[in-house]
Amino acid sequence: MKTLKIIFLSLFIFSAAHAQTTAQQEAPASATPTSDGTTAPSATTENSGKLYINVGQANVKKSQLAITPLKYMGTAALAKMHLKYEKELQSVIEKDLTISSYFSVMSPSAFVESMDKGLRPAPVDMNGFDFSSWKEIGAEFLIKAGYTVVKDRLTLDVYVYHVTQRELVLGRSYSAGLGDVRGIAHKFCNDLVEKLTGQKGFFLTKVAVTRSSGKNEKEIYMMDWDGENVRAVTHSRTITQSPSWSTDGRYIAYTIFNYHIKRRSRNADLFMYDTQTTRHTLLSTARGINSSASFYPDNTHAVIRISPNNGTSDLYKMDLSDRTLSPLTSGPRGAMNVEPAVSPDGTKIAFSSDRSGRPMIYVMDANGANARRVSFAGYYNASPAWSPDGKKIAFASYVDGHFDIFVMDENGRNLQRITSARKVNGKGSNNEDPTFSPDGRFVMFRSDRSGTYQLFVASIDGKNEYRLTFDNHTYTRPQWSPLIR
Amino acid sequence: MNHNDTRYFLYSIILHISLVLIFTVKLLVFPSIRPELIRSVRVDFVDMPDKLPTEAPPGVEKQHKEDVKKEVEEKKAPVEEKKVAKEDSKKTKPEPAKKEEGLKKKDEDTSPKDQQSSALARLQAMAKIKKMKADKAGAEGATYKGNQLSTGSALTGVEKLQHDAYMENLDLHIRKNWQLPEWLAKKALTAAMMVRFDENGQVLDRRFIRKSGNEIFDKEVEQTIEASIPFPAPPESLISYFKVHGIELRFPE
Repeated sequence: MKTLKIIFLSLFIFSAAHAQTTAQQEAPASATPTSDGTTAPSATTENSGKLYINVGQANVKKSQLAITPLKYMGTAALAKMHLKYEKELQSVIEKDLTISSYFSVMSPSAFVESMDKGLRPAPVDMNGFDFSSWKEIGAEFLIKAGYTVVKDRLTLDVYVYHVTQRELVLGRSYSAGLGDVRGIAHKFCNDLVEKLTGQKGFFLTKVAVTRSSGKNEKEIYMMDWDGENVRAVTHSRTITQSPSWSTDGRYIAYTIFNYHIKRRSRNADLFMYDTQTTRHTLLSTARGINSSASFYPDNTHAVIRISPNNGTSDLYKMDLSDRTLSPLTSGPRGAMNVEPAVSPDGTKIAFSSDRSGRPMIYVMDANGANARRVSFAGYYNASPAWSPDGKKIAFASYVDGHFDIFVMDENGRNLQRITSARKVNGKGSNNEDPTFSPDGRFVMFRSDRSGTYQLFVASIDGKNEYRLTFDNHTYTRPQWSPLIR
Repeated sequence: MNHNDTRYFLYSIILHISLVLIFTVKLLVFPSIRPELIRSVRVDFVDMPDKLPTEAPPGVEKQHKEDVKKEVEEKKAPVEEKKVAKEDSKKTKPEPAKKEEGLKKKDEDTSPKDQQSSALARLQAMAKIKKMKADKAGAEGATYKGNQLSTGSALTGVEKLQHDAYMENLDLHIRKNWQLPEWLAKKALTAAMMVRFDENGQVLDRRFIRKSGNEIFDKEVEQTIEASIPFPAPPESLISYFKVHGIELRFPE
């Protein structure tokens, strides 16, 4: 017994000593390369010995924006009649520019200058405004606008000034029928954003979405990106869902649970709606579910999902001219391959599949080869959506008992969470069905944080979230249109 | 031995074995946990080459201030210093010397002492070449000790750490104030500014080396500097450099 103990003790001492010596041996070895100043010059010293610092990318901030109340410049007697247009214009401009996250719209209670001042600065305009009274309150940009209504046309004159630079950024006149007042406000915001950033604004884009419209009925709706101007695309009085845009924004493909008289049963058929002619055409009516069309960039082909009623589901490439199909995925046996999303350059297809057990995001080449799994975290990942530059994929991930929106690089790296909102009762809310804005800076999705599933938009860093719809309907799978014309 | 004794003996054995097991497992599972030696070891290592008794340039003498008292005492007796230095090189840097010995052995068959002195001479010559290079690179060599760090002495080693820490600090300090409006952030604009400041971090003067061409961008750069005043107070060894030459700040790079 004693010898055993001694053996153990010595073993212990030996191993401890050994570990220490190895540690000591390793430490200097790892230190030498860093201490060798001759081979690795300090990152902040140039060869000439000059010191410099690369300060790096700036922290971004919002610019303070003052918008003075719109001025009615028409006949005084009719001013009251047109007040609603004024309110509408003002609210659209404020909402667009606030959500754009470029600006922080200042409260009018901070304004010190009288609202009677003209649209142009003082020396130019006799009753002009004074830049210094806007600089004083910290405004960086100032929007001054006026409008007139002649018969059924509204004309909006807008001036945008950079206050500290004391210069005019944009001065333009917009005109439209009284039915399209929101349109000219969006158009102005597009122009302003393009002027400042060089990037096209998305304020005139639309959203296609599935919305509940009665008991067990769902229809496709189209609305402005900000949730306004809603109109129905389908009137099927059954379940119609999963809309998707063609890349030119002209067509919307969708799935409808059609009653087939010959088969005497319902089948989920794939249709396509032409927004210009308002005609609906049948694309695919294979037995089972035909859905989730995703268009190739030239809109001659689309990837669709066909799921015969046997628990499997595969992706097919459809030639839209003659409706012929060629398979892109096949199995593995019993596996579901769903939710295809063709990348913006048309070289890759993201989709979700449960071939490895639980549904995960996969990316394959456009011809169906080379499928590789790109999402590994999360219990269950679904509904991939490409960013317009093709570098990122947004998806919904089921973690901790609810869905949240995440964004990752197209190869699965740099996973970032976008949503984490909770319900009023403190429980996690579901955030699903992401779709990118055409400029790639925002993600729209549906969330049940307020009760029913409503539409929300969040900046890609997750910092700014806005609710877009305020009703009791249930929204599913919003699809942000490309920039239309 | 009675019954109880054996029982206690057994308990003891079991306890010991479990203790040994715990430690062995711990060592096996967490073998990489070691004390934070890296920094201190690094200083000692870099220390060695500089102890050679070369004539220190005026700038280097200042650096010595921060070194151990021992050396200050030694300076009183310059004759002794040489000895110490020789011994030091013998003691603390056996590996390079041995290697060189091995290489030279075939050609020359000299006594170890000679080998030592010849190795020493080589090192001295190398140090001289480095110094010449440094002088060539810029006249600021004397005032700016930072650019002598590369000679690999203990003092510059310590100073390098200090210098790096300061630069990191300064970088963070400015980066914190570096802001652009989001609508401007994605445009590929760059600017660079030379800033001179004193020991309290008060800016003496600043001028654009390179403007972006966008007035608002350039204003934001100026505002960043403005908001960063006072700069963090530089370590003593860098004060004169920042006063005379200043530092170039590149936005974003």
